[in-house]
Amino acid sequence: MGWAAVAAALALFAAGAVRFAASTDYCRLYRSSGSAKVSYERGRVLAVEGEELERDDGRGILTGVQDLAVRIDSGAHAGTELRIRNVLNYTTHFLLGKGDSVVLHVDQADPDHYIASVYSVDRAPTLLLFAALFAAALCGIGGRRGARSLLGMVFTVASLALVFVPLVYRGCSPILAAAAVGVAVIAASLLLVAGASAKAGAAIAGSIVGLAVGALLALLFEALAQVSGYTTAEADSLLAIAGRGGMKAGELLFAAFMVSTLGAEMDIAISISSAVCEVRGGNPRLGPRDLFLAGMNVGRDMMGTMANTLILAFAGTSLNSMILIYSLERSANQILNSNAVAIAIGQSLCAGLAVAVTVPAVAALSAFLLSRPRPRPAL
Amino acid sequence: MSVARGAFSAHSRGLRAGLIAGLLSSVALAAFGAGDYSISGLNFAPGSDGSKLNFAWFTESPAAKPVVQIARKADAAGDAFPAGKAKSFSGTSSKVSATPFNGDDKSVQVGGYADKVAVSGLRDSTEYVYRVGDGKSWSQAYSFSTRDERNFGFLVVGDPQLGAKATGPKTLASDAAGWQDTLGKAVAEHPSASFLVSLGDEVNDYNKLDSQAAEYSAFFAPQQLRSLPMATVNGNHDFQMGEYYGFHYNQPNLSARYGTSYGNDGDYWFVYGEVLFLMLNSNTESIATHDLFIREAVEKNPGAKWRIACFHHSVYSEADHFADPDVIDRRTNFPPVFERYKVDAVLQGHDHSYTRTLPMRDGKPVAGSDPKAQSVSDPAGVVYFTFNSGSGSKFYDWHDAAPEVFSAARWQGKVPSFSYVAIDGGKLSVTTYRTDDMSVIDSYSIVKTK
Repeated sequence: MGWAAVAAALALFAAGAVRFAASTDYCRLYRSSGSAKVSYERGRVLAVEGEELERDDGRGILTGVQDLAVRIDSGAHAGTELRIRNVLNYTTHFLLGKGDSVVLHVDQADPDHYIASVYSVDRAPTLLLFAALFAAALCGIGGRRGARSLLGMVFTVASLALVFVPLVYRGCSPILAAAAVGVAVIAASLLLVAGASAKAGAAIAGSIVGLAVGALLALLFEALAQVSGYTTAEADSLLAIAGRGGMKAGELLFAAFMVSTLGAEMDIAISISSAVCEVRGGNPRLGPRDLFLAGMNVGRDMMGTMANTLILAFAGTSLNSMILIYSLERSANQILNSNAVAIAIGQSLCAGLAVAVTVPAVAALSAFLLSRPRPRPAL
Repeated sequence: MSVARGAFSAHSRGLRAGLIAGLLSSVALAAFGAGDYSISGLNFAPGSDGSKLNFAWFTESPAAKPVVQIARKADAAGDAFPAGKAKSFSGTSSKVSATPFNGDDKSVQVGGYADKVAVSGLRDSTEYVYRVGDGKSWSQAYSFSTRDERNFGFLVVGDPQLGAKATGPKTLASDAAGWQDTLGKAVAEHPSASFLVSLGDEVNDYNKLDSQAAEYSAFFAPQQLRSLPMATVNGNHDFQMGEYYGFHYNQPNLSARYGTSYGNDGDYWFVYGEVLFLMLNSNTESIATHDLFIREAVEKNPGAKWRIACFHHSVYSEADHFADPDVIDRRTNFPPVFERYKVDAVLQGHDHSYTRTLPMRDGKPVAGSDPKAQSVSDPAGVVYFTFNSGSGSKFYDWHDAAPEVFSAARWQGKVPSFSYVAIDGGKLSVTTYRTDDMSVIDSYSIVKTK
């Protein structure tokens, strides 16, 4: 019933966010003179006219060169056919065949002279395919609720990419921005999944408690371990950007801590309040204490796997570093005290702690809200 | 911890020695005709060829006609400047402006004037004295020697970046002391170096014009720079104040079309001996403009036996900037240009660490290259050098603990360092020194038999 309104509101929000994000004073770190311009255009491989490739046995990748006949399909040179040498090495290795779609790096020095090279295979179709599969799975398996969580995702992505990032870039405190966007994402996602119910209310309030606790822990960790946005690898570029719009680069890391725990907090919160709701549905006479204990029981089971989930997610993203650290037999002193490792471990532990604290908070809130004689009717 | 402390005290001992050396040389020069013309930032660059030099300095008030007076030192009687036997060269004076990165891309007047004068007709291996002025008032006099171009060498430093304040006491003064120390030691070790190449990020400040101005003062302060020509390239930090960078230097064959964003910061070239130096402004996104620039420079100098390209943003380095998206773009698109125009060596900065690659072709080491070799003959690829900080104001840790595929030698001693490139006919050799104990970090030569 109200879903059309919800979808319309979401669309309105997204459109507003797009406008907000676009009306910005972009940094042009690198500028070119006069008519010089670099653009990325679509193209197609018409033929492979020659190639010299060899497999690098030690490393298992193909290296060498391919001479391609390529047609540019977009931009100022659309329709132009030209020969391009495609180099396969440790930086770029796309093995191309006739008919492949590619993205070309077209570097125009002046009106008469440009260099086109292969930037990448065209990945947009693959990305779209997987996005479609994901959406289909959510709606097919999850039904209406799946469709609603898809809307929730759209809201989350729009909030982060089109509101949070531009806000931070323009000099709004990353901590405040993360808190505001975090609360909005929690409320919107959980309301979309669970409707306007006591169940959703408990989960939302519990997630916000988790977010707040996570924020306090992250502040404490940063102060004790002396890490900040200034100790990340991107610090130099971030400082350059900060010089222009007043972005608070030092607070960025903290905001990243907050954003990265959001999902886990919502996850455990809705699981517990949902379980408490089910338990109460089965036995409406249960009092707050029983409901709290039921919630805690579910939460205890989940806590272990959830903490693991967080640590595995961080491990997954830093797998390359883990292998390098292992292979080089670094000392514990060096590893634990490097910026990257200290930050990754700190982030996992703060998130885990925040999730742990979310458990009793949601259990208590759901017990309190759901054991009241007249729970608010679901919409 | 004790190791670190030992290294630091060795460093500060060296620092003191360098400061004393710098002081002594300034005393020796100051004796040569004191002047009343007020200038700042006096420096000079190699000219279009070895018989020319390009001077630049700032003044408070405009000179109708800035002048460099130059005479052979042999013609000087005693301490007085031999004005009667001097030749005068005049140039241009222009109002200094800047486009600060954080200032909505608007050009602002800085105050002061940039004077530039080109001097020509110099002879090899001759001692000269010079002074600059407006034709009536003169600066104090300084001296320099031209060198034998047939067998010469030049000094190289990576990012002095004065004001980065990321090491030691974290003050501009300590960055400046490190810079003075490095120059003192480099010139003492190689007193006959023909010039100095500084690979960008001479200064640091992104945001405040007056901070960057103070950093320029510190950068030009060492007296060695009154006697040693210097060729700089534009780094990402220098670039943040727009055209301000270009006002400080007088670069030969400066392109108004290629590699420029503000009109006075383009690519430039010069020839010294049998070497064509291609000095590129890598802040521009379009690499095709550098391609055109190099093509033109190579066509104009068909006799140059060696081609050396210098620019800031290292494409093959291994520290913090290794995986920056803009660096990856350059890693893909710059090397084919160097291969096309048969560049022999590429000198770069930006990554505050030292890396020498194997000869590279098509994005990978030339097959059969020996990573342990100290020299290579007629390589089928280009050798890329990335130099560590010349002042020690900032160092970067390795991006990956293990060396990259392209790497033949790398060093991060967190001590200022400099290099000396010697060109002796068919041999180009690069020797890199750490300034605390002056030991050699790496030494490598490229031999040309054809």
